[in-house]
Amino acid sequence: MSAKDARDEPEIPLLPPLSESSGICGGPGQMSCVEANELIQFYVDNFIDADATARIAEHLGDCPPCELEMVVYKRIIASLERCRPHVPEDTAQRLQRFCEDLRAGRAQYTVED
Amino acid sequence: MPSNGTGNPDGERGVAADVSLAVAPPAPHLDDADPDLDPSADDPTVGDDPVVGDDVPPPASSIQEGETGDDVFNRLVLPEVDVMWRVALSLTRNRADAEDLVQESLLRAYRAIDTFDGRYPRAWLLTILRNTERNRHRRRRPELLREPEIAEERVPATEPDAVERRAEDAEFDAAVTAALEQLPENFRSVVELVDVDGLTYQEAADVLEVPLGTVMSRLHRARRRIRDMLVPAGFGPGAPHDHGPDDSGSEGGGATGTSGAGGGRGGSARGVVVEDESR
Repeated sequence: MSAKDARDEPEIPLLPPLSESSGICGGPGQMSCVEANELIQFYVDNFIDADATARIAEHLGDCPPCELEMVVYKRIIASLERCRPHVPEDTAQRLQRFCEDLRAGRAQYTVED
Repeated sequence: MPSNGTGNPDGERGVAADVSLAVAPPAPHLDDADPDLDPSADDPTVGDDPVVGDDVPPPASSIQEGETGDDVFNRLVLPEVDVMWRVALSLTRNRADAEDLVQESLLRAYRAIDTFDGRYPRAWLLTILRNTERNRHRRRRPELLREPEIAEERVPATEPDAVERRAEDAEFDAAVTAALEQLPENFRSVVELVDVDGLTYQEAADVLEVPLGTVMSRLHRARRRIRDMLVPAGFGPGAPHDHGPDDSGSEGGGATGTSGAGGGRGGSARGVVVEDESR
């Protein structure tokens, strides 16, 4: 992926009006399921402000399907984190030795052409 | 570069560093031409007297008085080697190449250590890593066709604590890993950098050289697709109830209430980036 590709990506409007929501939740003044679904990953990433957090938390408390969505995302993220690879011992030793060589002025790196 | 306040005090996934401040270091000793790196910078010297340029405001530097280049390297670079290796593995998808990439990046970092102001060492090192990888691409393209080994690297069962994990988790992890491997490269790399490797959105944006909004958009779509792939594997909640248009090419941060998360770097959280490779 290059920066050029990113620039080529057009922007379009995101959401249909909330009135198109068929959400079963979201009474007057409450968050709809559509809105909650848009926010849910920001919520699990702790990336929304306090007001939005409070509103979605209220929705999740009242809406088991959306709460299940949130739980699934949390499980996925936790699972991905468990996949985090550990530096293999031999690699760690070689990198440590390389750093020692750097400091001792012994490191050599041959650029391959 | 605007402020990147995120309203996210713990910053776990927030914008941790103004990475545009991380200047690519010079690599004056390398034999190959390196147009991405600043050729005008001085040849860094490592000695007892660290030279901090006049253009570096002292209050912003974390370099301590009397610290040598080696001291700075030990204090700020060495703790990041593990992160560098994980990111290198995500970029190269091959153990041997990842180790090679980390070594070359460490060499460049060491040679440039006296030009480093000490702020945001991870962002600085990831910038070096990214530029180094780009140059490796240029001169070693045939080797990129090498078969990726990454799937083996990331099999969760190889984790030391795997035996203690519940079988249910192991099955779930296997399904998630399989789903991850099926994602298109652009989506998979974002998930790997953020959720697997533990980078912030901003760090991932810098490594991938895409706007922050693109990282969030891809990350959310990718997770959504992983979620969808878990359903036939026997996990997940099935079809979400009346959840509008999320995966139909209009995902992303259109949500009201996102607290300036986009930071304005090439698009806010609301700036929807449509990607045509979605299916």
